[in-house]
Amino acid sequence: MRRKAAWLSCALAVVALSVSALAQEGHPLVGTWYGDWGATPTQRTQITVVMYWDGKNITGTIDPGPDAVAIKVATLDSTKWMLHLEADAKDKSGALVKIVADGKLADIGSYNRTLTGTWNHGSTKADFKLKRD
Amino acid sequence: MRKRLIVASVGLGLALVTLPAASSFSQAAPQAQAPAAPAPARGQGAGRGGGRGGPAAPALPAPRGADGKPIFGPLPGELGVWLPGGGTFADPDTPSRAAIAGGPAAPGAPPKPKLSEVPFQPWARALYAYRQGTQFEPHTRCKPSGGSRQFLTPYGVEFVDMPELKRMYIMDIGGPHTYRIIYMDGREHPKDLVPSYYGHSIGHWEGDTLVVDNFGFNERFWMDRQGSPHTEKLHYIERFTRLNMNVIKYEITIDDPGAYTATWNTGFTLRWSPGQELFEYVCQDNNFAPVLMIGSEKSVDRTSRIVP
Repeated sequence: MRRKAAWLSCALAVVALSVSALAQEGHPLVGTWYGDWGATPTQRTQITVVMYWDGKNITGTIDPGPDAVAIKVATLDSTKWMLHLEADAKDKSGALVKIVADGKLADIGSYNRTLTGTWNHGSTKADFKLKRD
Repeated sequence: MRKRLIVASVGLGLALVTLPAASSFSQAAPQAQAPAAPAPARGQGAGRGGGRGGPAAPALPAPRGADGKPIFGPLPGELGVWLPGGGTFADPDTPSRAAIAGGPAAPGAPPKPKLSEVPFQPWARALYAYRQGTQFEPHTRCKPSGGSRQFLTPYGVEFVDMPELKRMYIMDIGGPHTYRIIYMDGREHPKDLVPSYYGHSIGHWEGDTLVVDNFGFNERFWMDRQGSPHTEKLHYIERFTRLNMNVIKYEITIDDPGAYTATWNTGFTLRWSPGQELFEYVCQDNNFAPVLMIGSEKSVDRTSRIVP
């Protein structure tokens, strides 16, 4: 029991430290965002979105790795804290699938800020929720 | 026997009750650990009025070393730290009553832009405005305070010049008890710097002014108390001029194309506070801000579950 508690404490400490190490106070979209999108509450697709800011443009990738999709357009309307994002993905047959997302940035003061909004994946109209790690 | 046991139990209970109280009292009053100010030292009171209603006495000149350069630290046998005189990067467009009542800026203070004149990028201006209402500042979570924020931490800062090492240290204790190094040996900034809280500082003298070029900052701190944003592109030039015994004119040039549309200048003064010295202050021990961060106040949502 004690050993389990010790392991749990260690694991929590590692998680807390790693989260802390990623905390950023600059451009609010910069970072790695985890979450999902889907047309219904039960049909969800996990996604990871990584975004950068070069001083003029927001760039980044959806799902880094073998199925990575480069973000084609990303803009932030800082008067409403709204993100507009576009990307061109491919389905299993290699056909183009256009992704268009519009999301509201919230809890900006927290490094665990959130993005929520609409996620159009080809002809599928869905919503998405992301939390920055 | 039973009576003795009762007395012992009551005594133990009282001790258990009073010890944490005493401990929390010591955390609540870290200033009490600072050494008491000794008799007035050089420059004390100078420039602040010679007595009740009397004219301000002229401040003593800036002390100088054998090389003729101004000394920023305390002289041998004396104590003193530098405290911020002001500390905002921009003046409000409409001055508050308090600001008007406070009179003009401190003598020697460099010019500051009005808030509307700061060349924020749109996102940076919006973030700055957002921060005025939330105050989720990393400093309050005991994070190091880079850039000018180092001079705005509690209990003052001290310059420690080590000419034999061609380095100057700036010590501050009001955060997590930190310091930064200014390299005075003519080196350049390293290539491929890993961004850090204090960045990399190289300094040189231009007459009586210490010019410090800083680069390589991370984005995990605010540059000032008001929450001026910055990015890893920040290039920060500081100019320290000791005008007299009591005042350092502190000028800043901010070049951050990630957050601002142009390079801009601001600054404030540092005031000599004689008779004080740095002491052991451990932010984590004395910090009440985590309670504020994870709790909730009337006007601010601080429901973040993890204190970063």
